[in-house]
Amino acid sequence: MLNDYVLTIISNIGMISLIALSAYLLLVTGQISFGQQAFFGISAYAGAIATTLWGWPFWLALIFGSGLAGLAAGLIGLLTLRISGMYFSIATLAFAEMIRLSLFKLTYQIEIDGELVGPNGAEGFGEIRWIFDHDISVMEYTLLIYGVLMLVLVGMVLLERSRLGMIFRMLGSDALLTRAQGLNPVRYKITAAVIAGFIAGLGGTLYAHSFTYIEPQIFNVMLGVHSLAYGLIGGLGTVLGPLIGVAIDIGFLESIRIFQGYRMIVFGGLVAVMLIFMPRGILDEARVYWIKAVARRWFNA
Amino acid sequence: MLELRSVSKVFGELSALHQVDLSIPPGRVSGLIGPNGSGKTTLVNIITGIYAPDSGKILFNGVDITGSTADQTTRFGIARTFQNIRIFSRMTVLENVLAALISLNDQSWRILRGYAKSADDPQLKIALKALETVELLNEAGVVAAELPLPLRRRLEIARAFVRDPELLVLDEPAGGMTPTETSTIASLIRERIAPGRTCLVIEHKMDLISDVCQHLCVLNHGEKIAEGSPRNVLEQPQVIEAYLGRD
Amino acid sequence: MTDFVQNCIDGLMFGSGYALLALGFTLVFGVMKRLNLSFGPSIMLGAYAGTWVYLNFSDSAWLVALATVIATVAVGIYVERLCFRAIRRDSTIASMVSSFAIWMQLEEVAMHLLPERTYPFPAFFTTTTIEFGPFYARSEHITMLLLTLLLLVLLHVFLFRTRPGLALRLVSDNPLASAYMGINNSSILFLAFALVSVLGGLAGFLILSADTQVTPFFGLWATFKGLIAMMLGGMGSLPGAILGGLLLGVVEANAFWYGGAVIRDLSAYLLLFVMLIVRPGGLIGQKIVAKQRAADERV
Repeated sequence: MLNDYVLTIISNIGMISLIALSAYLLLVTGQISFGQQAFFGISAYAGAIATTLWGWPFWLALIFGSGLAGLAAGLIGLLTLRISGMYFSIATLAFAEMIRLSLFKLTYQIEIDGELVGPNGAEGFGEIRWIFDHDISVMEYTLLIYGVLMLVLVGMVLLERSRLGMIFRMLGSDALLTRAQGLNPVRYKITAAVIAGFIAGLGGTLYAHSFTYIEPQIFNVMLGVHSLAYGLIGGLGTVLGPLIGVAIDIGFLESIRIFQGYRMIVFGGLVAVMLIFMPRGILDEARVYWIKAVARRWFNA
Repeated sequence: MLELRSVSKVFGELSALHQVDLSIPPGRVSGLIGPNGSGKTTLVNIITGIYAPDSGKILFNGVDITGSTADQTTRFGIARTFQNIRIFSRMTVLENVLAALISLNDQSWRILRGYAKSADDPQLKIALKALETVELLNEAGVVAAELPLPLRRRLEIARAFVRDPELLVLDEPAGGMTPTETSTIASLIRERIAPGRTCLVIEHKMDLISDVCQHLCVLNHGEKIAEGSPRNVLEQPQVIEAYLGRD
Repeated sequence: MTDFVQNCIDGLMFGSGYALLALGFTLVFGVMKRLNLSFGPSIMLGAYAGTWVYLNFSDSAWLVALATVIATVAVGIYVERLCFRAIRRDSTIASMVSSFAIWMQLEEVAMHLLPERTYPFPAFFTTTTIEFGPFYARSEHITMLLLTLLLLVLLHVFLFRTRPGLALRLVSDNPLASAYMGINNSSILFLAFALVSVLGGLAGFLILSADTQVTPFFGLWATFKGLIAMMLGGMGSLPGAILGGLLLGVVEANAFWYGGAVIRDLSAYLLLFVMLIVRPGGLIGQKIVAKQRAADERV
């Protein structure tokens, strides 16, 4: 039953969930970023270079790639501090495209065992062989992906219940009011940016090693808009929201043959409709409160 | 306690405030009144750090706080409500009040710890007590967006005084309310909020002002035209003229 | 040095195409304070309609232009209904995201309708090269520039000398007040979209006939170029759209000459990014930013 095809879909859901969670975190703090794919991409390349060209162990490459992504995200967060709303969103878009285009110019190749390996501009970066070199099966890698995803989810649930998470939600609701409560939004916005960038980065390195080939074109605006859309569809009230969105798209739409070739038409239409009737998604904040209240009554009965 | 010296503010070509001198005495409820467009909101926004004055000084307990930002003024001890009601509409009533207490924590890594989950968290107790004072305890779990207007105003008040601020600024606390609701809010302020606290109330409903304030300051066209006890101030001809117009 | 000046000349002319696209964006933003990110793809579908007419009906460039414009307007109406009219007025970001989602949809529709990689587009102009001194210009580019100027004049006349144009400007300035004056905001919105679609269709036609082909990348390309040009000039500013378009054209022409295609595109985005950080109002629109900020902070 769990043949490689199904496992691949499950892996993809896992990895894309990470970039979806990244966009979700920023959405919760009230910032709409069309550019998380930039951090996904930076980490993909950095992590892959670390294992393939420098021979680093995977866990170190993962931290390196994600750390770099987080740093870049923090930098962008700093630069965009004074702009908000549409201006911020477009700035993230511009930055992401700058990264994607820069990757076309990234050539860094080393000769290993008589062959040239490494990113080669538009031709991409292939032979990311860590999985093969270490005899990791598809199943084992899928488990690795979900291990990372679980850690991130636990972290985000804890965040949600912490004061920092509360501050994030306050910022997303009313930044001026948050200031009036004695909190300076600056450090929190940047913290959110760094965490979100890091999470996207985790997805990126995992992705590079899963697909064993990456090229700049992958990290385009489509990916960015999709990662936003997942949270918007699934719901902004809980970390499960973006996961639901990913499952709907990759798990449902991509796998069912009828939708073959019409996935974007359906998905795009779905997002547009959701934004009219349920602008904060299926599991929005109000619904989550309701569910919790129902659950409480149920357990007390 | 709060002193404004020669504060001016210009927006483009509009002089919103012109060299206003003001003094808010401690321990009492002061009122800031004046017709629409007189500069009350601008003055309040400057006091609470929404914008900085173009010239002049603001002294809080003798300390110069001119040009502070909104978060700084709050941390100095000035809390406020908003004329247009600003609440965290997607959060519950209790969470709205807890939100006000967050910055009272030292903002170190402790920010990562859970908040108010256990029943004996001191902040939870403070928040619940504030809700009790404004009679919103029963609505603690209600999402703020679902509250009707008068309850929203009470929520704002609870959120403002839960920090036990040195100066509590209430910006049109009875805005949009019927006369009955207004007098409910007035007694709430007079009996439960004001005692032992310095308050500044901005209003143009005279019934609330005369019910609650012990000290009045009148603005018109960006300038202060009177200041003193309500009885004195309300009898002055320029004040009557400002509200009713010249005969 | 001659290279640089030549690049600037090329840039100005190509920039006029960008300016037209930017005008489309800025008009929509001016009236609705929202961005329509499906603008490019709607023009592309319009162009596909034009190319279909070209391949199956007639060689006439006029007919193709007409088909392009009509189809663009049709798609524009679809987008307007779904992404703009149906969404609450103050949810500006929701409209933007929605239009982005519909862009995904339209791209896939385009892929299904016309699966080939490129389609021929009729040349509206005969290609000759005009020389003046050490510089030269291609006739189709000069024609595009002149036609752009003509369209600008017509637009100006429409906005400033006709009643619907006046209504549009009033709604842009103060929608609430206009509503009180009896102006139906919904129909003005519709008008704005129709107008913008016509402009877009024409812009698309001019650009593509200078290129004599249309590819599936056109949608994304047109959206980004128009968006960048608009933001450079200042959101909501008509003269800004023109200046932004020309600036973009000149920067790109030089970047391409000295660095190649990737550097060209990268420079465009870099310019946009820097502008957004340093001067979000663009060259001209700083007042709009200030107004928006004031509105957000209205206490």
